[in-house]
Amino acid sequence: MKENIDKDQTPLGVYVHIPYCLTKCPYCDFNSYGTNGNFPEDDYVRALEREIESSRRIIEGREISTVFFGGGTPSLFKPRSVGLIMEKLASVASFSPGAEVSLEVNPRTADREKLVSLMRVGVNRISVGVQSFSQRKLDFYGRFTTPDDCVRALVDVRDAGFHNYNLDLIYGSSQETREEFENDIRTALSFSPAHVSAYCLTIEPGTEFATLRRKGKLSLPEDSVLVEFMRSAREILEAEGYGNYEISNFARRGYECRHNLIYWNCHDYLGVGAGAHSHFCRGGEEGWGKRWSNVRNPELYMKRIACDGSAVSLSYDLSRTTALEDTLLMGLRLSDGVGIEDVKKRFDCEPDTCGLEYLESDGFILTDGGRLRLTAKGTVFTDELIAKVCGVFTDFTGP
Amino acid sequence: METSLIRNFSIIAHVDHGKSTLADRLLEFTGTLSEREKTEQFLDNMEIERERGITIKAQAVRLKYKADDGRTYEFNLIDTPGHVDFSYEVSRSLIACEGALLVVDASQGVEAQTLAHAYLAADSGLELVPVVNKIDLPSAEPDRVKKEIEDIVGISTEDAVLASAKEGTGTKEILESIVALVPPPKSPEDSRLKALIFDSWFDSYQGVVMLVRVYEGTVRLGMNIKLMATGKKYEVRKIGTFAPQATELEQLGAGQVGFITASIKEIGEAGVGDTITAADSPTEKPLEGFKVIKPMVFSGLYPIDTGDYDKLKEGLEKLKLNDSSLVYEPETSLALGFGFRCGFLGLLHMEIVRERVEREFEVNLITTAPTVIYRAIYPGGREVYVDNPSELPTGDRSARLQEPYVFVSVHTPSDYLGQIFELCEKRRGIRKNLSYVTENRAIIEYELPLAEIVYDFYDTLKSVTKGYASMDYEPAGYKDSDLIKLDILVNGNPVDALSIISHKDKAYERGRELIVKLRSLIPRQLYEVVIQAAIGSRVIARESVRAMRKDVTSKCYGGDVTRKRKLLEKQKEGKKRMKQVGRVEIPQEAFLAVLKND
Repeated sequence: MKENIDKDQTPLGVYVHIPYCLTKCPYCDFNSYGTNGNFPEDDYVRALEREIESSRRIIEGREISTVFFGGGTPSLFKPRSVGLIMEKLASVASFSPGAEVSLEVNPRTADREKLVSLMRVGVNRISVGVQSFSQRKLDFYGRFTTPDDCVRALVDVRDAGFHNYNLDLIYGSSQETREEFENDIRTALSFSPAHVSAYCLTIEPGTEFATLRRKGKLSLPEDSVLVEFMRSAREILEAEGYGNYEISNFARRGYECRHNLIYWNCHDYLGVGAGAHSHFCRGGEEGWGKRWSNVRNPELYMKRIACDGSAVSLSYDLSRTTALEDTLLMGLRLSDGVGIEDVKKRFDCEPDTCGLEYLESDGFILTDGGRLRLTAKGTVFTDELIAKVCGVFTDFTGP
Repeated sequence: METSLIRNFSIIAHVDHGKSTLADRLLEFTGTLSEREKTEQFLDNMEIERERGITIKAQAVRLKYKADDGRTYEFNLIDTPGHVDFSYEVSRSLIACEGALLVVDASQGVEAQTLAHAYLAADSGLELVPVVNKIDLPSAEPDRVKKEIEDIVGISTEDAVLASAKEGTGTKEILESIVALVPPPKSPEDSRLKALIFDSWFDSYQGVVMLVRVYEGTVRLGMNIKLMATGKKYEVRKIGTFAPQATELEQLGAGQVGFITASIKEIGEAGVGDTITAADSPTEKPLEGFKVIKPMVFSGLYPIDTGDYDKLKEGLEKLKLNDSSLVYEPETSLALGFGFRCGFLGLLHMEIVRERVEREFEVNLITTAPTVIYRAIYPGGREVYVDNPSELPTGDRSARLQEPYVFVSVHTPSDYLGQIFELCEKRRGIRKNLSYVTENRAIIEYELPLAEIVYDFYDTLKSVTKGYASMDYEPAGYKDSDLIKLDILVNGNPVDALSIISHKDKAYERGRELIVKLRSLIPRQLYEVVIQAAIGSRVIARESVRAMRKDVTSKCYGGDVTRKRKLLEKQKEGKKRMKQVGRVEIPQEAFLAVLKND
């Protein structure tokens, strides 16, 4: 099956997780740990090298098209460490020409010199975790950075010679006004970044914010206000030539994050490091691919790698239904949506698209050009629409 | 078997007062049930019964007991269901007995159901043997409970047995009391066969299995019998008792209880309450038997997935084999597609059937609001019966509409009279009688529209009387009534499956309540959902469910799909219980929203 996916043309991404931060932000539910600067960098890099070595058989002979150093705060690591990991990757597989190599930077953890060194070891795309240019919002988000740190970081990134860089923003803080929100977007645009990610603050279970909200100590804007922010971000950024290619992601043409597109298109990626996730669309019991993830705790991760070269804690084979659902639930986040014929052919399904006609006539989805996608109006209801589309494609209640 | 050595009895107890455990103890003590073969609570043999802790089908088990007087007795323990919906089945089980153990929880005291059944037993001339159970509990107050039995039930507790079925105390005393207090069957006056069918069910190998009580004569293997209701004749293929497994016998004599098979293919041919006699020397007069059992409550069952129609059909066919009180016929709803209109004895019966279809046949169901059968009388006398609200001829003013009434008697401690009167008046009741059994125990009799009691009357009665009142009801014919059809519109479209028939005086109130309820049950969707209640073209109430504002996971950290998957699984689970009607998803509970009256 899936002969239509030509092995040599399928992009392959590598995700490298660096779990250490200076402090843990109260909204963050990623696998990251506040360390005050005390973390076993060398041991962790050795573990990453060992894991890459033992993953050789998975990616050997393939071309790596993207690498993403995420976290955590990867910019806490020395450029030399990043270089060692890049070298190790190069020793087990080749890089495709013009491979995208991104690294997340927190303002105040990287100066110009460090950024230049990072470029020398192969990093060619920087993602700056700005979140906001307003001191009030930064305080609310529990960031230790100031607006000035953010501005300086962006200037350093540009001065170091990076043209391809992203800027992360979070909106939806308590009491946030439209003016405050738009100001963040416009300030971001003044740096002419190649890419902007504008996320709506989401209260994730297990975070400090979740606890505060449970105790009634966190009041957030009404959904109607957030929907307005969402629409306004899209309007401003699109007017400046940034395409809203994924719900929260905007890029100038050609600067879409290729690594993230691998996730959203359900292509292959290998995740290394504590709690990293991997997905390969070949193999698995039923031939629909498999997913696995590593243990989350960094200490345990290093121990497991030292013992047997692997730290996998959870692994499962995909069924036809899960693979199809994954394709839809990731693909429909993209402005391009999913190719209807591709899906039908790949999963051998004949969806009764009549069940979707009313959603189209009411302007939530579009099925033009052989693709199924959400409209701007529909994007606001992505989760509900994904469930409805999945229902039609997989016939939930069938035998 | 000498009739003086036979004891036929049943156990009357409130749900949870320990009936099944006590039955197990009796079976164990008499060696009927060995340790090895006992599954917990043998008598409740269906999964649902076990979960709900109630016994639905009557069963009969034979026990051999060697008493202190040195003689060996044959005990037949006939089990009874414990809910008001099944009081009909209770009375027919009681008819096969001469006595009953009245089991009362030593801390909870006498409960309404127990009382209703105790009265039923007393009316059928049964001797009651009081058993105060669960005396091992720290909260047990056997003396208070004994007094309560004397005051409320009105029987002496001089011979009451104090027992703990859980710990096995008092088991022997109970068995001795049965010997001493339960009378043996009356000696037969005639030698011609006369036996009563008090339960029957369908077995795929044996055909219909009949549980019988022989009053006169003897039924023997191979003999030709006649069922007196139909006059049809059959040859007896098998005779036996349950001990507790089926044990085959050559014959059953006067006073004995057991089962018979006779290659009967249709459950309807061996009606419960029918009399069996010998084909060659028949008795002249059948036993009194029972009233014909008729469904009282109707509702539509529809598969959520239209593709499950055949599975639903098969499920109902199979359940019907063993449940002669279940009736059904195909029906079509504009909103819900193809389904069945089913008739039930009451709401509990409906719940049980619904659960069994969902569980045993794996069909997710929408159940429409229960309704009774209305009658339309046209000029010239033509009568039409309506069991589906959407068929009520409301537009035709020439038709006279009638609704069924029931004669309800409520037994209650007199402290609750006020609340009960209020409840009955509110439900359009016509007061008939009030009498006192003891100085603080009364019987209130009302005629009430059946429609007013099928929903939640019983539950409300229980709650306003802290569980002390018990009720029984019987049909009291049809009466003229000012009825109208109340339509429910969702986004302007009438949803036939949500229509109800209401008395005109209550229509506004019910319409209002119903849509408020619906508003709380219908989740927010992509659109605003407008819910209206209308009589004809007149909208009497309106509510709306606001459209959802936003439903999007903003940051999807692509590598880890776990959270997105969990969300999708949750959404799928939710959508399984929803029926898409036009653009709106209506949850199953909405179709039952009309259940609650207050």
